[in-house]
Amino acid sequence: MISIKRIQAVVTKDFQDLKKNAYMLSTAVVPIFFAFIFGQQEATGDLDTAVFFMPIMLTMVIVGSFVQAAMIAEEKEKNTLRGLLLSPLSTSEIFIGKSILSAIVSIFMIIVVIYIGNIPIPDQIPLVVAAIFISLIIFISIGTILGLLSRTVMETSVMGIPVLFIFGMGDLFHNMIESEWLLNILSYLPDQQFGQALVQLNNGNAIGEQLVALSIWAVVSVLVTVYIFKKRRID
Amino acid sequence: MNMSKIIDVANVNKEYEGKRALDNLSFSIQQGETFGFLGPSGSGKTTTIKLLTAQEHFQAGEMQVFGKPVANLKDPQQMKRIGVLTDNSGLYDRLTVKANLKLYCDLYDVDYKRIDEVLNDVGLTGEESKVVQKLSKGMRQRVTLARTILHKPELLFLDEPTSALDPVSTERIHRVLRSLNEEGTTIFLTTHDMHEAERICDRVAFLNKGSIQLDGPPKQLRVSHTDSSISISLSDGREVLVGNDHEGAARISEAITSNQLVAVHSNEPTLGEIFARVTGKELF
Repeated sequence: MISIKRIQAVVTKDFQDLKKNAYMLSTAVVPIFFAFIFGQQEATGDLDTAVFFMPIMLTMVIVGSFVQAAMIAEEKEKNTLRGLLLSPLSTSEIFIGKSILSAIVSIFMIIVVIYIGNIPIPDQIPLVVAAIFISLIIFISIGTILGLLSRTVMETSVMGIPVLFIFGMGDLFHNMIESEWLLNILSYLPDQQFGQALVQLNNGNAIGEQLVALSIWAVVSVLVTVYIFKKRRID
Repeated sequence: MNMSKIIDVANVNKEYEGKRALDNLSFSIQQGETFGFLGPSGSGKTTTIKLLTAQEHFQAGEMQVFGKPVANLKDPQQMKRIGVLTDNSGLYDRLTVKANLKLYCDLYDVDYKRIDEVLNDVGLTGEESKVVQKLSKGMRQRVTLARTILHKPELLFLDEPTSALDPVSTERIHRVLRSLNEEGTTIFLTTHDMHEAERICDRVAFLNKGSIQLDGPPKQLRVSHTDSSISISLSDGREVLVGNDHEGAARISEAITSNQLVAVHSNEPTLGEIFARVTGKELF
């Protein structure tokens, strides 16, 4: 049975720790600079509509994945994760507890980025929130995997670069790709599905297809995370 | 005291990539005992603790803790019955001593009042608002011990708890362990420090190449391995070895009558010497 009290204890500890962690705080505010730059470009009308939402995706990758990866890797590096594993915390409680703070900070930064970047958010707020929520599950899971696979906090930065380019900046590279089949495959990636969901909402269309695709990504990423987490717990 | 088996290990094998770490390991520990697992680095001490605390799997044999297979320790209620301390048990560096302990109070459902008690036990009263990264190694280890005993575990696993600590911190930790044991806590201690084992263990086992070579109470092991000679210190500074027989008695008597005798010592070997005799290896 999952204990809310134990999860709360992990979140409280993570919050106290984050307040004093310069590396993670500076990483968490990086999306603001991107939002500012994108906000300027939007004003000149240089970018197509799908790219308007890139700052949100970057925030999810940088805060959701990178901060989460750093938090997990630091627990491993400083041997504090072992203490948690040898406490009454279950695997689910550790996984949920370690993800909540990244989710809260991500949501806060997404709001800031939307405001600073003048991002045209569709009127259907509940659907936007659903798309963001599901995407956050995906990117926090990816962050957890990165953290579990990295030996140190610094290593997460290196291992996270492909994630940043593929999911956070994918839109920028799509214009350089001519291969139809490759573009077709890339269109199923969560960043593309998320961008398309917001574009469709702005155009007044339904986003059921995108939400299903994102949900499949979320389920798969959580399962992979739990598998790696349990494997690493024993190893 | 009810002396039931709290740990029971039977014929356990553990391999890492084809290399055997534990070889047919068998032993048991009674409730209330302080059991010392002695062996050089790489002998399998830490591996045994990892298996007993369900951190790793083993390939063959049986391991029971509290009369149930070790896998049951994944149940939070069972986990609350044990405490585990290693020489690198992590603390949150950026947090204060109190914040570190509060986290574990919440995880174990322990009242915050207990923090003052454990800090007093480990001699860190008044240090609760210090940030952990500003503490010395000895103080950090005492905070970790405080964290480990916060929930009053019935069974305490200690993996080289005083490794590389100064004598004052070591003595402080030994005092806490003796006191916990007097209150009924069973202690499983791994060490390569024979003095530590002699001072606090009721029973020790020598681990070499993944299996136990010898076990028993330290005093009994020393007596059973004594070479029955006696050394006498004379006033001129000489140390003379005499036999434990009539001839030896006569030599001691002569030293007494000639007013030369300063001290008489039995020649019981240390645990380290016994280990070297049994395994052909030094403990370090």
